[in-house]
Amino acid sequence: MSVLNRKLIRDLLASKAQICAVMSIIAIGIACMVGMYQTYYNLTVSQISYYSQCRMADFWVDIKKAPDNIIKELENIKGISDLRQRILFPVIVDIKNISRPISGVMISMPETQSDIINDIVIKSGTYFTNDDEDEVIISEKFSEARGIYPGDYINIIMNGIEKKLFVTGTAISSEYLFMTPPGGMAPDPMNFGVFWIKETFAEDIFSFHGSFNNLIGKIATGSGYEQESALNEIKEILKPYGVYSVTPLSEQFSNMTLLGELGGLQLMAVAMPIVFLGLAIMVLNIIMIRMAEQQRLTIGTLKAIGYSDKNILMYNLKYGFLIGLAGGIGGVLLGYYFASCMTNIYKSFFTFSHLDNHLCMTVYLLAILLSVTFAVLGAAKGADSMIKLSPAEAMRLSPPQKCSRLFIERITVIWSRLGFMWQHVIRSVFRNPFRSSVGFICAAIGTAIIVMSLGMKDALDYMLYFQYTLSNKADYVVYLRDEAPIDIINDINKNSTVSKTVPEFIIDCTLTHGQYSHKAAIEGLVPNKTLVAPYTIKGEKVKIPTEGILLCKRISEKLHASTGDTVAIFPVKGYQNPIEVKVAGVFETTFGLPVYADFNYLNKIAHQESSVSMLQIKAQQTEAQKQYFLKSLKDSPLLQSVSVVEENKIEMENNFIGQMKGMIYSLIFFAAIIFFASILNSALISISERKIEIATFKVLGYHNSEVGKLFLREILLINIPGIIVGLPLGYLFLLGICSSYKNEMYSIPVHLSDVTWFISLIIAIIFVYCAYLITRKAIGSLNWQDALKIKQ
Amino acid sequence: MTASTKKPLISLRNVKKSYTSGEVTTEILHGINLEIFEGEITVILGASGSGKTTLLNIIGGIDRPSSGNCLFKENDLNKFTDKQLTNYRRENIGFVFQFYNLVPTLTAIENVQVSTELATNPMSPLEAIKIVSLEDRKNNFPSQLSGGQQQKVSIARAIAKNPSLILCDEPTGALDLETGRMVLKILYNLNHEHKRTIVIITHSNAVACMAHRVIHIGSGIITKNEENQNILRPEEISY
Ligand SMILES: Nc1ncnc2c1ncn2[C@@H]1O[C@H](COP(=O)(O)OP(=O)(O)OP(=O)(O)O)[C@@H](O)[C@H]1O
Ligand SMILES: [Mg+2]
Repeated sequence: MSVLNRKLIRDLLASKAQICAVMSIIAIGIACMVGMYQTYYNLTVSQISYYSQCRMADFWVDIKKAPDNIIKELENIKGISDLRQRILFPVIVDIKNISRPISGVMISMPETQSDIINDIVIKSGTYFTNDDEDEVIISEKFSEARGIYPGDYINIIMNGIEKKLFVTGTAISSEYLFMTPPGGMAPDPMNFGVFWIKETFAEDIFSFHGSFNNLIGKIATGSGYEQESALNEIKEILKPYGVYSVTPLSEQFSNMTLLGELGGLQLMAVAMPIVFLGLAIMVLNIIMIRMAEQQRLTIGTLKAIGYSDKNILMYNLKYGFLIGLAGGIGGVLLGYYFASCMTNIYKSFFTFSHLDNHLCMTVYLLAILLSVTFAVLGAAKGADSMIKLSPAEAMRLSPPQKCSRLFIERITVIWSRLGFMWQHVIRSVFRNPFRSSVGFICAAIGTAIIVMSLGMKDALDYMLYFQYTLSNKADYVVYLRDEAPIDIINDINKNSTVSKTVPEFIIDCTLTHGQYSHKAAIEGLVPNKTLVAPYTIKGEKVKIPTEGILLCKRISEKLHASTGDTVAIFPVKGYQNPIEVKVAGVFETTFGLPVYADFNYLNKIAHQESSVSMLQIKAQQTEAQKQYFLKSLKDSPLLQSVSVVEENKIEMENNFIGQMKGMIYSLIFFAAIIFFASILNSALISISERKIEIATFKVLGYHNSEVGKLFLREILLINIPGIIVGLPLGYLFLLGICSSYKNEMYSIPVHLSDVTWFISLIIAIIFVYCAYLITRKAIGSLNWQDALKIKQ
Repeated sequence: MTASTKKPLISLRNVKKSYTSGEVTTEILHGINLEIFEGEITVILGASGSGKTTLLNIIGGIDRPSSGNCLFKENDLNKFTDKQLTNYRRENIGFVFQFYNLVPTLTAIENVQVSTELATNPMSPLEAIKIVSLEDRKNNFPSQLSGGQQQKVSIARAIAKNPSLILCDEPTGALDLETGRMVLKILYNLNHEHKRTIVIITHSNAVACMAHRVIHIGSGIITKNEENQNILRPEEISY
C-alpha cells in the first residue's frame, strides 16, 4: 500500500467521530431510498404475479340484472378479450354467540376450478366438491380472524334467507387484496368476509337463473383498442338492464388503494435521500475544508516534494469515496431491514398470495453509486482550497485570519453590553459563515422532520376525530337492502334504548354536465336532524339547501360544474329518465366523494314518498342491550349491513395509528441523527481549531463546564434560530406529504395541534442539549497541555 | 579547475520578486544574479528577512520570480507550466525544511517513502534512513522523535530520491550545536562521497566554512559572492 493511502486511513481514523456523523447521515438517506424502493418493488412484484395468477380483470360492471345470453353480444365488442358474468351480492354472516351482523360479499364461482378471470387462490382445504350444493369457500383472513376453518359450517343470510353452508376451503383473491367493511376505512377481517359459492347455488338463492348482476372482463393487450370506447359500448348494450357502475381497474378500490400506497413510497424514495444526501454533502464539505486548513503545511510540503495537484485531488476523492462507500453499504443494510419491516406491515394491510422481501441488487448498486458520488462531490469541493494553495504560501506559517469587524460590533450600544463571553461566541459564529449556516440548516431540517412526523399523527387523529366525532354522532349506521317506507323509523324506535333514528335517502346515479360525467351517490339528509352531519375540511358544518344538490369539490372539478350550473342525474335504479337539478353549492371535504341534498327534495325528484335507504341510529345501551339490539337487526330481512361506529373507530386506531407509530419513531430518530451529527461535527472541529484557546482558558483557571458554556452558547446561537425556522418548514413538509397522499377518495387534512408545536420544540431542544453534553465530554477529555507545546 | 570551466546547474539572471498585498507592492528580491555549480556546496548567508527563503523557493521551483530568469541546465523555469514545474521538483530537487515539515501521521520511514514513491531512480527508504543513521528509530512517528532526529528524517527524505540538487533552508536553525554539527556532517558526506550538489541557507557564518562557495544576501541583493579557498570539515568548524 502506498504511503499516501496509509496516511489516508490514519486520517480517517483520526477523525472517526466526524466521519461517523457524515456516514450516518448518508446511511439514513440511502436506507430510506433502498427501504422505500425495495418495499415498492416487493409490492409491485407481488401485485404483478398475484394479478396474473388470478387473471385479474381490467374492468367491473355492476348491473341490476342481465340475461346470460347478452354475453355473446358483448364478446363481439372490439378489444374485449375475455368476459365472465357473476352473481355478486352483499350478505350477512350470522355467527353463534356473536350478536352483531357481520358484513360480507357473496360471489358466484364455477362448479369446478378452471382458468377464469378473477380466480381465487385456495389457501387451505379444497375447491368445491361435487357432493353438495351448499358449499362455500371463505376469505382466508376472515377464517383466521373468526376461527372458522374448512370442515366447519357457517350461517349466512342471503337474500333475507339464512342458510347453513359447509366450508370446503379458504381462499384469497386479487380483487380483494385490500378490503374494508362497508363504512369502514381500515381492513377489519373480523367483520368483513368474502364468500364464494357455486354458480347454480347462487342462481337458486338469488333467483338469478340465467342472469347475472356483475360482469368482469379483460381488454386485449396490444389490441390498440381504447379501453374507454369498449367500456362505453358495454354500457350501451347493458343499459336496458340497469347499469349501476362501470369500474376500470385503475378505479377499482383495492387496486387504487395499493397504487396510492405505491405512489407515496415512490415519492419518499426520492425525497428522503435528496434531503439527507444534501445535508451529508454540506457536512462533508465542512470536514474537508477543516482538513485543508489543518493539513496546510503537510499539503504544501507534499507539493514541494513534487506531488501534483492531481495526486492531492485523488487523495481527497478517495477520502470521500471511502466515506460514501461505507455510508452507502451501511445504508443498504439498514434499508434492507427497513424494507423487511415495511413489507411486514403491508402484509397486515394487503392480502397477497406471496409478499416476500426481495433483494434489489440494481438498487443497491445505484444507492452505493449515489452515495459515493455525493460524498466524492462533497470531498472534491473541499479539496478546492488545497489545490489552490501554492506550496510557497503553505509553508509560510500561519494562514491569514480574516479579522474584519462584524456588523454587530459597529453598533457599540448593543455590542458593549453583550459581555465578553457573548462577544466571543458571536464572533466565532460569524467568522465561520459556511459552517454556521450548515449547522443552522441541519437544525431547521431536523426540527422540520420532527414537526412533520408528529404532524402526521395529528393529521390522522384529526381525521379520526372528523370522521367519528365531529361528523358522525351516530352509534350505528344501517344500510337497507331496498328502499323502505319511513315507518321503519318507528320500528327501530320501538327499542327503548334507541334515542334517535334519522333516515337518509340515497340515489345511486351518474351525474353529467356537458361532456363530463361522474358516478355518485346522492345522499338525502334531513337538515338539522342528522347524526352523520357533513362538515367541510375546515370543520364547518355544511348547510343542506332545500332545493338543488351540494357537490364536493372533487366532483365539482371533475364535472366542471359550479354553483348555479344545472347537472343531469341518471339514476341507476328503475327510473331511467334523467332528472335535471341545480348545483346549490360546492364544499370541500376530507373523505370520499359525497353529494348531498335535502331528504324530501331528493324523494320528490325521484318521485318517491319519504323512502329510506339508510338509517343513522343513536342509542344509549348497556353491553347486553347492545347485543340484543344488534341481534334484532340481524334478524331483520331488510338489513344489508350495519356498521358499528365505535368498532370501526377502534379498528382504524389500531390499524393505522399503530402502524404509524413505527414510522413516526423512525423519523424522529432520523431527526436526532441530523442534530447529533451536525452539532458534534461542528463542535469537534471548533475544539480542534481552538485547542490553544481552550488551553489558555484552562491555564487561566476556567473549569471544563465554563469552557463548555462557551460552546453551549455557540451551539444555541446557531441551533435555536434553526429550530425556529424548522417549525414552519416542518409544516410545509407536512403539506407536501399530505398532498402526495391525496387521491380520489380522500385528502388528509393538515391540522397541527398547538401541543405538537410545543412538543417538537422540546424534542429539538433536548436533542441539542444531549449533543452538547457529548461536546462537553470531548472538551473534558481534550489533552490541552499538549496544545500549549505546539510550535508556530 | 577554474570557475569558467565549471558547469552551472542553476543560473539566476536578474531575478526579481515582489509581493502585493492590497494596494502595496513590496519588492523582496531586487535583481539577483548567481550560479550554482554541480558538485558544490553553496551557502547562502543573510540576515532574517533578507529574502533567503524566497530565493530558495524560486530555485526549487516552489515559487516563480516576478521577473528575470531562473535556468536549470539552460531550461528556463519561468517557461515551465505548473505541471512541468511539479515534475522538475519531483525529479531534481530534494528539500530540507527549516521546521522539518514531516507528515505527522506517517512514521520516519514512511515519511521517506513519501518521496521515494515519486522518484524514477530512488534509493531504498531504508538506505536513506541508514545514511542519516536512524535505523533504530525508523518506525517512530514524528511526535516520538527529537528535533534533530526529525531533521535527519527530513534529510533522508530529501536525499532518498537521488535528486540532482538538495536545497536546505536553515537545516540547523532549530537545533543545538552538537545536533547541528551532526546534520552538517551528513550534508558534507553527501557532497564529498555521493557528489551531491547542495545549497544551504543559513545566517550562521560558521556553516559557511564547509562550503565551496558563499553568497551573501542583504535586503534582496547579493552583496558578496566568493569561493571558499579553505574548506573545513564539519568537525573542524568552531562556532
Ligand atoms: N507571501 C508573502 N507576502 C508578503 N511578504 C512576503 C511574502 N513572503 C515573504 N515576504 C516577505 O519577504 C521578506 C523575505 O522573506 P524570506 O522568508 O525570504 O526571508 P528569510 O531571509 O528567509 O528570513 P528568515 O531568516 O527569517 O527565514 C520578508 O520581509 C517577508 O516578510
Ligand atoms: Mg527563511
